[in-house]
Amino acid sequence: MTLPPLAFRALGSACLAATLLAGCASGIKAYPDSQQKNTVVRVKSDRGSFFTKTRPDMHLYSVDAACRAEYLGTVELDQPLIQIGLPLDQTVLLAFEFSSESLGGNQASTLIEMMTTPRKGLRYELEVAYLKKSYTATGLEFRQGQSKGREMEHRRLRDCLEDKKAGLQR
Amino acid sequence: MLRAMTAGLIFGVALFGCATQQKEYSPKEWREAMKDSKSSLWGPLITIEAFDASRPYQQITETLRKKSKECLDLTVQSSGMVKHGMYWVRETSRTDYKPTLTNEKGKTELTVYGNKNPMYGLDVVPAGRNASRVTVYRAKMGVSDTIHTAVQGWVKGESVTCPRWNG
Repeated sequence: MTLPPLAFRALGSACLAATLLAGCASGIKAYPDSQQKNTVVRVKSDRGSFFTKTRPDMHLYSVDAACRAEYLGTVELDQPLIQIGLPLDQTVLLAFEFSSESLGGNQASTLIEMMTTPRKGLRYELEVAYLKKSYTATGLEFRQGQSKGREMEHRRLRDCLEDKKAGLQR
Repeated sequence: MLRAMTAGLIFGVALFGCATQQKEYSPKEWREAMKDSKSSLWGPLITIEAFDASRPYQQITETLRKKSKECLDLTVQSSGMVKHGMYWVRETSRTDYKPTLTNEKGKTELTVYGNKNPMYGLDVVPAGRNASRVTVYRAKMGVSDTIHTAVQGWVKGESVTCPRWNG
């Protein structure tokens, strides 16, 4: 598992979640976004108040068959409409981090995860909202020419590991 | 005495979501322990409430399946400055939430775990063709209450938003 700036193997699901959060907090690099743009991210954010600053970010990881995650980069969700290119034919973990920091130095963040395997010809629409009393991060996958999309799965890296473990035990 | 201690532990987890607990409860054991705790010292802070929702059982079950994965399967981390003697130090806490949904014998059970401890429970059974009976096990404040505000909105069909965990 390659994560910035720490490169260590997470031993369990709890560690993985902590690692993702730690990865988000430090050693952030911009997502290179060299792929063909196949994804639109629509963002609604209230940006907090004078006393509390809030921000949503999207961290991208590629996940291999052994459920090892490699950090690809981070997209700052600071615009209402962002277009990016997700890498094709590999499982991608999208980790949405909703963070807040108060004037007194208190910090908090919530991390929700989604996994998908982007394919050629498909397009993706993500809706991210970080509002006063709620947040959401959802996604739809569209086939060419279709106006009705299929919901993207909220699946965590932990789920990948648990499925892997269950498969090995069978 | 044992009942009071058990109730205290259950209540602490339901309220703060980050307490450590020795015993791992199954959803069924936890619901029983919550019922027992109602008559303990912590009883006034725990609630087991039932209400009718005017939506079909299958529809509520599907909503819970979708929304629990979207909104209750996550990690929350917070940190702040705490005074230790003469010095201020930063303390960090992290809670890994995980919802489980079971559907057996005409009953759907949602249990939300925080760091592997049950902290919120909701049971749904059909009550006629277009209505369902809902029973909730929770603390009256804290994380358990935050979860309840969102889940109640989903069950009644009044809201689809996820709770905001980090203030």
